[in-house]
Amino acid sequence: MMRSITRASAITVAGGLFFAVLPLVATSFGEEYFISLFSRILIYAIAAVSLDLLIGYGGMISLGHAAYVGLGAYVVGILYQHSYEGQPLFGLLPGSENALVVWPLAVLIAAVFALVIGSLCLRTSGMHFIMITLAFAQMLYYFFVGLEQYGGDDGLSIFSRNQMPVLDLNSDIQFYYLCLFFLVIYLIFVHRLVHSRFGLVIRGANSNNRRIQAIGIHSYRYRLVCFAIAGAGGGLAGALLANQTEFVSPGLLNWTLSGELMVMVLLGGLGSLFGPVLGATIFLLLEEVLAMYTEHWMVYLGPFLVIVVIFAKHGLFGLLAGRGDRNE
Amino acid sequence: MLLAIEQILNGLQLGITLFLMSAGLTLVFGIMQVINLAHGSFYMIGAFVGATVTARSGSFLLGVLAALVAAAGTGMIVEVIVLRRLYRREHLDQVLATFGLILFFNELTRIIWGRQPLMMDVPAWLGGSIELLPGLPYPVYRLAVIVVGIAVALGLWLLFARTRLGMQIRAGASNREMTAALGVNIRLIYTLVFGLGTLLAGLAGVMAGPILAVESGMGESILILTFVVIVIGGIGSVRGAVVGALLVGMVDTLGRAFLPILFRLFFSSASADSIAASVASMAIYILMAAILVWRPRGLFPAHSS
Amino acid sequence: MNDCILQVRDLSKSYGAVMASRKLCFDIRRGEVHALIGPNGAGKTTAVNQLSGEILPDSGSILFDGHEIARMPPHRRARLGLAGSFQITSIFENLTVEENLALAIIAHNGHNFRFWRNCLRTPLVRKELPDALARIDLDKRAGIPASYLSHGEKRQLEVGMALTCKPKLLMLDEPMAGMGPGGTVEMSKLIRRLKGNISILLVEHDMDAVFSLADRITVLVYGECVAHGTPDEIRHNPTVRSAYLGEG
Repeated sequence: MMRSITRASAITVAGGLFFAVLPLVATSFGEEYFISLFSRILIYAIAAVSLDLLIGYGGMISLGHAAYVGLGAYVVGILYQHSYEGQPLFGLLPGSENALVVWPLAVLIAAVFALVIGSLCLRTSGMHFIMITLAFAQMLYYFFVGLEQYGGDDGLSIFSRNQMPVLDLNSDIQFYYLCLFFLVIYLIFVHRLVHSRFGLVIRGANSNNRRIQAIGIHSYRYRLVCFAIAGAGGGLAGALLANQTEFVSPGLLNWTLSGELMVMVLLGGLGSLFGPVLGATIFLLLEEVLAMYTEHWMVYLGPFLVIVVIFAKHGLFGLLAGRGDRNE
Repeated sequence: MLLAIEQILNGLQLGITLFLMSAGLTLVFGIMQVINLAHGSFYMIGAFVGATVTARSGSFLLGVLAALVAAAGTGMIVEVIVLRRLYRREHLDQVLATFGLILFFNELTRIIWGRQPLMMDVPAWLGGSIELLPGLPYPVYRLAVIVVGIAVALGLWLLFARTRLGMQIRAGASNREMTAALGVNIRLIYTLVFGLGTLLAGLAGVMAGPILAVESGMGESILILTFVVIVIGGIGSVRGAVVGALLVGMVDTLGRAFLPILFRLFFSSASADSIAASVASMAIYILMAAILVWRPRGLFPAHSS
Repeated sequence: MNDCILQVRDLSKSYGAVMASRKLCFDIRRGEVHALIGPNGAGKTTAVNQLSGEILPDSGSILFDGHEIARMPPHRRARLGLAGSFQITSIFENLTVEENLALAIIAHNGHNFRFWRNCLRTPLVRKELPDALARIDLDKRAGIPASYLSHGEKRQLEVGMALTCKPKLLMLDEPMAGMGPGGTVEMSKLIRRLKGNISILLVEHDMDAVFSLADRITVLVYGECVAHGTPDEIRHNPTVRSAYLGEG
C-alpha cells in the first residue's frame, strides 16, 4: 500500500517538474511551438480533471461535459466581440476584454448551466443519465450553431487574448505559466475536495447509493453540487482555450470533444488526480505525432481504445503507480 | 393548410427513420443492457454501401439489399468481437469502447470513400410526386419510406408477439441464465438481436441516402435524435420507440417549419428567423426535458429494470 | 406505554394475491433484544423492510419512540434513531474501514457541504472514530479498503456503521448468515455488549443465537404473528413447535 502511494507521488512530482521547466528548455532549443502545444495540454488537463471528478470519483458518467468547456469559451468570445465592436450585449452590458471580469463570469455561467442541466439529469441514472447528458449538450451545440451574429457554424475569432494586470497574455510563455498555475490550483482544490466531508459523501454515493440514503444522506443534492463544480472547471478550461487558440466555435460543445475528454480520463486512469493530466498529455501528443505520419490516424486510435478498455482498465497511471484497485 | 399537411407527412417520414434507428437500439439496450454509441455507424455503413452499389449497378433494390447485408454483417461481426466482452462491464467501459468503434468506422469511410459526400439519386421508379390532395403534390419516395416503415413496425410486432424466436428473445431479456439453462442458445440470440438492430439501422441509412448527404459522421447526428426518442419512449420498449419517434419527428419538423412564422409575428424578420432556427433546433430537447420532469423513465418503460 | 420503543399495529402488506404481512402486532421494549423468528417465507424480511422504510405498508401503524413512521422515507426514520443493517451486506466497498465509519458519523451531523478540510481530521470524526472502531473490534483494520475484509468483518462493519448514529433501535437482519462459528461468536459478543444500552430487533435463523441472546421472541408464520413470549415460553409453545417441526 505504502509503496504505491509513494510511486504515485513520485510520478506527480516528476510531472510537475517536467511542466515547470518545459518552456525554458523549449526556448533554449528554439522550439517555441512546444510551448503553445503544452499550453493546450494543460488546458485540456483541467477539463479532464473536472470530468474525472464526475466520473472517477462521483460515478456520474456525463457524455456532455464539453458543453461547459464550450460555454466558458463562448463567454470569452461573445464579450470580446461586444467590446471590440463597441456594442453592448442586449443593449445593456458592455463587452469586456478584461480577464479578471470575463474569466470568473465564464466559470460562473458554466456552473449555473451545470446546475440547471444537472438538476434534470440527476433525476435519472444508468443509461438514461448518459444519454440525457449527451442530449442536453447537443442542444447547446445546436443553439450556438444557430447564433449567426456570433459566427454560427463558422465560429468566432478573437484578435488578441484577454488582458490582465501585470501579465501580458499575448506572450506564449506567460500564458503557459498562467495555465500551469490554474492547473495546479485546480488539482489542489480537487484533492482537498475529494478527501473532505463533501468528497466522502460523493465517493460513498458512488460506491453504494442505497446505503447512503439509508444513513440519512440525500445524495441528489451533493451530486448536483459536484456536477456544478465539475462544470465550473470545464468553464475555466473553456475560457483559457478561447484565449489560447483565439478562436471559438460550436465544435467545442460537440460530443466528439466530450468523448475525447473521456478518453483522456480513461488513458490516465479514473479516480486518480494526476491521471487525467497524464491522459491529456498522451492523447494530445499522440494526436500530434500520429498526424505527421498519416492523416487517418483515428483508424488506429479507435481499435486501440477498444483494446485498452477491454484489457487495461485502470489506465496508465494505474499501471505505473502499481494500483490494482480504483482506490484513493 | 396544405403546407401543414405536407409538413406533417415530412414529420412522419422523419419519425419513420427515427423509429427504424431506435427500435434496434432500444432492443439492444433493453435485452443486452448495453449502451452502444456506435449504432449510428451502421446507419452510415448502410448509406455508403447502398449509395455505392446503386451507382455501380444501377439498381436501387440491389443497393438496398447490399446495404442490409453490409450493415447486419458488420453488426454481427462487431457483436462477436467487441460487444460480447462488454455485456457484464460497467456502462463507462461500454461507452468508451463503442466510442472507439465510432472513431474507427468514421475514419474507415473517409479512407475508402474520401471526404466528399456521396450523392445518391432517388430511383426513377420512385421519382416524382403524386397528388395526394388537390394542390398537394408529395414526393413518391418519401411516401415509400413511410410505407416501408409501417411494414417494418408490423413485422417487428409479429416477430415478438407471435413467433417462437420472439418469445425466446423476450425470455432472454428478463432472465438470461434461466433461458440459457432451458437450452436456448443465448449467445446466438444476442448476436441475432444485435444483427437485427444493425439491419434496421442500415435500412434507415440507405433510405435516407437520397434525402440527406451521405458522409462520414452522418451517423452521429441521427444517433443523438435516436437517444432522445428512446429516453422519451422508454428504454427497452418498442412501443415507446414508435411513440417517441413520431413525437420527435413531428416536433422537430413542424417546429422548424412553423416557428419562424410564429416568431415573425413578434420580432423583426431578420432576428426572428435566426432566433426561430435556434429554438427549433432545441425544441425536441425541451420536449425531452419536459417529459423527464413528468416521467423520469420515459412514457412506456419496459418492465424489466 | 412509554417503556416500548416500537409498537407495530395491524401492519399489512400484500403483493397481488400474496399477503406477505397480515395485521402484524408486536412491541419492542426499551433496552431489550427482541427476536423475530419464523420458517422460511414467513415474511420476516418484509416486516423489517416496512420498519426501515424500504417498502411502504398497505395499512397499519408503526409507532417509533412516539412518532408514527409507517409512511416516512428511510432517511427520516434514520434521523429519528431507527437504524438497520441490510440482509445482504451493504457497506461502501470502495472506501476504507475508517472512511466507512466516518461517513456514518458525519451523516448524522448536519449538512456536509464542507469542501476543504480532510474529513478524517475534522474534530467530530477524530472524537468519534476511535470509539466506533473499538466497538466493533476493527481498530487494527482501519486503513484497509472494505472490499478486503472477510465476510464476518464486513457484517461487523455494517453494525458499526449503524451504531455511530447512536440509534435507539437497531435492526439486525440475519447478522449471523454466512458466518462460520468464529464469526458467530464475535457477533454474539457484540450484541451482548450492546444489550441494555440500545434496543435491538434481531431477525435470525440461528436458533442457538436467538435463544441465548433474546429477551423476548415474536414468531411469524405466513405473515402473521402466532406467538409472543420469553425464550422459555416460546420453546414450549405448541403452535410454534408445529410450525417449525410439522404436526406433532
